[in-house]
Amino acid sequence: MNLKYIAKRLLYAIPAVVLVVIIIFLLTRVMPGDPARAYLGEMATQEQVEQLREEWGLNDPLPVQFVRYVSGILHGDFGYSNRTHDTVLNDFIKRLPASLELALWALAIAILIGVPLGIASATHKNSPLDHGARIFSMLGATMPVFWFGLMLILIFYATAGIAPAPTGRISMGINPPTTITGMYVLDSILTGDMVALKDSVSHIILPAITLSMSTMAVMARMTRASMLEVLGQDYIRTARAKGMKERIVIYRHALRNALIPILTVLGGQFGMMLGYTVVVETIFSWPGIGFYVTDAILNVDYNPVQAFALFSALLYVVINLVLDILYTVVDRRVKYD
Amino acid sequence: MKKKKQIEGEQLAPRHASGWQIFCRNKLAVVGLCFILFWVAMALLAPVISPYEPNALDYSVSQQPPSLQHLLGTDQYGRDILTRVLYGARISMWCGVISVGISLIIGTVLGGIAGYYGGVVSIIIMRVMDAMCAFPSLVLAIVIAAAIGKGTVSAMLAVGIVSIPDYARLMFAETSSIRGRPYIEAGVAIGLKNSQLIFRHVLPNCMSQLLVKATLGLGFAILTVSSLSFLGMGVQPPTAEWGNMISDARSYIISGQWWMATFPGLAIMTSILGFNLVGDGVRDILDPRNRTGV
Repeated sequence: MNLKYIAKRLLYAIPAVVLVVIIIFLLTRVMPGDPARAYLGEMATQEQVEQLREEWGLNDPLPVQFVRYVSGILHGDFGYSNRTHDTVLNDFIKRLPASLELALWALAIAILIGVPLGIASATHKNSPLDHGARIFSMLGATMPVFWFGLMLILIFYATAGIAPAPTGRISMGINPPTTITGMYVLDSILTGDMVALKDSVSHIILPAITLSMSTMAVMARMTRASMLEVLGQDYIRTARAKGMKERIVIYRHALRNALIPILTVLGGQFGMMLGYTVVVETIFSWPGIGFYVTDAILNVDYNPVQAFALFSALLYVVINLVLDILYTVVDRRVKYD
Repeated sequence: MKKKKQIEGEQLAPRHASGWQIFCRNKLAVVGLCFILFWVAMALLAPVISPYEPNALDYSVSQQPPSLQHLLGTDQYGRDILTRVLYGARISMWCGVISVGISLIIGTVLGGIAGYYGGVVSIIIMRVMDAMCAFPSLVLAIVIAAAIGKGTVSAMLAVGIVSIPDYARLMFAETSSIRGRPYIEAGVAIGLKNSQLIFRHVLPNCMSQLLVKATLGLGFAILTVSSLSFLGMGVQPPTAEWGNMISDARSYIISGQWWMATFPGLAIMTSILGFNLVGDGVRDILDPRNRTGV
């Protein structure tokens, strides 16, 4: 791996990060309503509000506030939540394992189904399988996530009765597994807690499918397009002419070269998924960051919302950075400069 | 056999197919156009064809499944779902058009300025656009809507602002490539003003690309506005809007009252599908490879 390339790429990411922070800061300051008033509630006197405004530095000039905001972020200070009366950072950390678990499952489902579907679609072009896969990915990409989730609940919980009620990560009467990673499925495997394992898997399946749907659709479509392009190239014909097994041609020669556009799309999809977490966790009462953010939105508690936006934009920058570096691993022809 | 027929059919097509012919060759695009025309008609005719008032409460018929009196059933207040879905089309189409209008105008101007003038201006504008793209679009829309306040207008603005970078980037790429072409140099040489050059010579060349973006953008706008409404930030009750209808229906899904959420969802899906398919169809028209009949 080329360290110079990585350093250069890191340097490019800095202006993006600075601008992201400025955008969030400016959005915070045009917000109507008084955060101090929101924190103290309707009953507080004007004097108390004024005192808190002074204490929080809301009466200082904007540049001063900006410097304080940035130094706060650097110290991990994202303000307080009016709802939980805890710091936003603590609230996030508490809820991170639930969101991470859901996101990882969704990502796994999207890749494990989307990519093979795209490959099959490309290798069986214009077959009924291909048409089916294309219709599936078209519908998957246009379906509103919140509606799809509700339809799954309707079908699998309300009608068929095979899924548990959409009320969180584990059933009421069952003890969550001993905390190791905070992710219930993984923890119950690690601790050998079969009861918790069965229950937590049954709880995560529907929300994970809901969250994965649009990414799965995009992955299938992108893999198909990318594979078709690669499969039409000369070296694939050469490989086949040499009498190589079709499996090796497709997986070792074609897929490897088709991977770059797929990776790029995956990077963009991660951001989409973060956005949809808010919706999906709300529908399934999944006690993660997204659910917390929706609750904050509805209760005019904006610190968590801004922190979430900042967090997801920074994550996006980091993911793209990692992907750019990954490209050089997957494909050595990617230029370093 | 079928394949052979298809090839013959294609060879019979005129050497220079018109845009409409290319569009019609894409059957899915035609289906998409039908969806759009359907929803536009429903939006326009909602007051005429809807059987009830969208906000007329009638507790005697609350939560009824589809029947002859209420073709798509009623909600918890006894309001007719069909009527509300039809009226919802009006809101959704308006939100789509206005937010795309906002992003199209601002994005085109910003991207145009950046591409035409270049230099520091372009660096500043385009870096800001890049930073905006770092936010997941729904998350940025939520933050902006939160900053402006709940409501229909704020949702339209939020969705409009979120999409600005899409148009700006496209316009930037087009303008900076057109800028170096001989006919622009010729324009400069005969003393045309910058504004004349931009509006008469640069912009028309970007129009077609912008059109495709805008068509796809309509679908995105409808989806995002309804997502915001679902989360309680966009269109507020009692106004009938697809997203907030589904939000209202949430607690009834669990007890199996399927009709309240299903129909508004199908409405969102078909309208987005319509705009996406037509967008793809329009892109086909613009692709020079499709220009010839063969």
